[in-house]
Amino acid sequence: MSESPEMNTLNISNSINTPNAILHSFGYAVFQKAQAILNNGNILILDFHGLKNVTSAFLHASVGNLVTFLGNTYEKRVHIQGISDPIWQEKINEAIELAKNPDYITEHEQAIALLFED
Amino acid sequence: MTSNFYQFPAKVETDARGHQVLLDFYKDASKFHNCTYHLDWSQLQFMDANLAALLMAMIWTLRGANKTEFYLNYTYLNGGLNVFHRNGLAHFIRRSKEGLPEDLRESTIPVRAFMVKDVDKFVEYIDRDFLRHRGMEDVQYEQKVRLKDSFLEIFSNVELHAQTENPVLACGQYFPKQKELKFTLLDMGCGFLSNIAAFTKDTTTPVTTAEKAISWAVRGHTTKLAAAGGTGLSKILNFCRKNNGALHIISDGCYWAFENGVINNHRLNGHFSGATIHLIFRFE
Repeated sequence: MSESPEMNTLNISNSINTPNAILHSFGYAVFQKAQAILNNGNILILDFHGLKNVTSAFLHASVGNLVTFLGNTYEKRVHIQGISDPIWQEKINEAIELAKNPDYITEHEQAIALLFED
Repeated sequence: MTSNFYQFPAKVETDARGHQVLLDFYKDASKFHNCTYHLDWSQLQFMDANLAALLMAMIWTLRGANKTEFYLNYTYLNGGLNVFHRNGLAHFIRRSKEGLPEDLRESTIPVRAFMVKDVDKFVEYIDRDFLRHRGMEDVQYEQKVRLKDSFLEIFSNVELHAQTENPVLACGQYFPKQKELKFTLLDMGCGFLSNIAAFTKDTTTPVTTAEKAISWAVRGHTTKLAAAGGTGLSKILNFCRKNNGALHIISDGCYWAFENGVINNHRLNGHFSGATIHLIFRFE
């Protein structure tokens, strides 16, 4: 009888020793720790509790890389909790979308493109 | 020891002409080593205080590279120029150990340097010195959140793209009569062109000029395959577009400016390392 995978929580703030998840390198460090959990066959709970600021650069390096790493199994194997700011959810969705589809163009990039048209 | 000097003109503002004045100062001061160099402000009547970040970066660079010391006569710091006392630039130039005078007019966002790993200090600076500034009182909470987000995205870019261990510098100033707040953030890294030119050289649209490199970055591209999502500059440009703001980016001798809904470029004579970003917010 196969065992159910374990749920492992990774609290980001504790992991990077700051409530400010800003730098790409911080995001990549989280990705590497998450990867180690996932390589053991576990389910990852990515916990945003305790964070005060989150940038797209951080999310692309962490969540984006996880999407690339897990492919279609991302939604089954990674759960996110502790989102206290709706802007963070927007950014997470964008990071996921961009990892799945590198040609994804955001609404604001479409608006910017118009500025460059002759 | 030889003394040398650069005389500043009457006015230096946050535009291509003002930037050229500072570049001319840097170019002249770069010629000298192991001496004292004077900043002659005898004719200067007005300078945008946020430019303290760029001046500080230039002086810091020349102190290190050329072992040059700098001198500024404090008697010039009266009237509008007193702001350079209050925001910390004069102290930096003179290596003064005295405390800063109080900013009674509450118009200053002090000049500060941050190492890239100092994320907590940078966040504190943005929260305390910028977003709680009286010039930002009428800005809606949601706009402040978006603005802060933009600054943090720019800061994160330095680690990823600037390829430097040198500090990031920031400074701002609120102009109550014009209802404008000007904020400057700069790094002393490699600038936009070298990485973007190398990244695009084998593509169908290689980038070969500073102007095109800045435009490429602002449009949301990135040279880092591991860092999808662009540089964050497109979000800031979009914020400026929606809120009657201006965005200026200076790199590799190009002064790129988005102002009043239009993009313009100016070729500068000479350049300083890295990239400088000016944000100008206008309030009704």
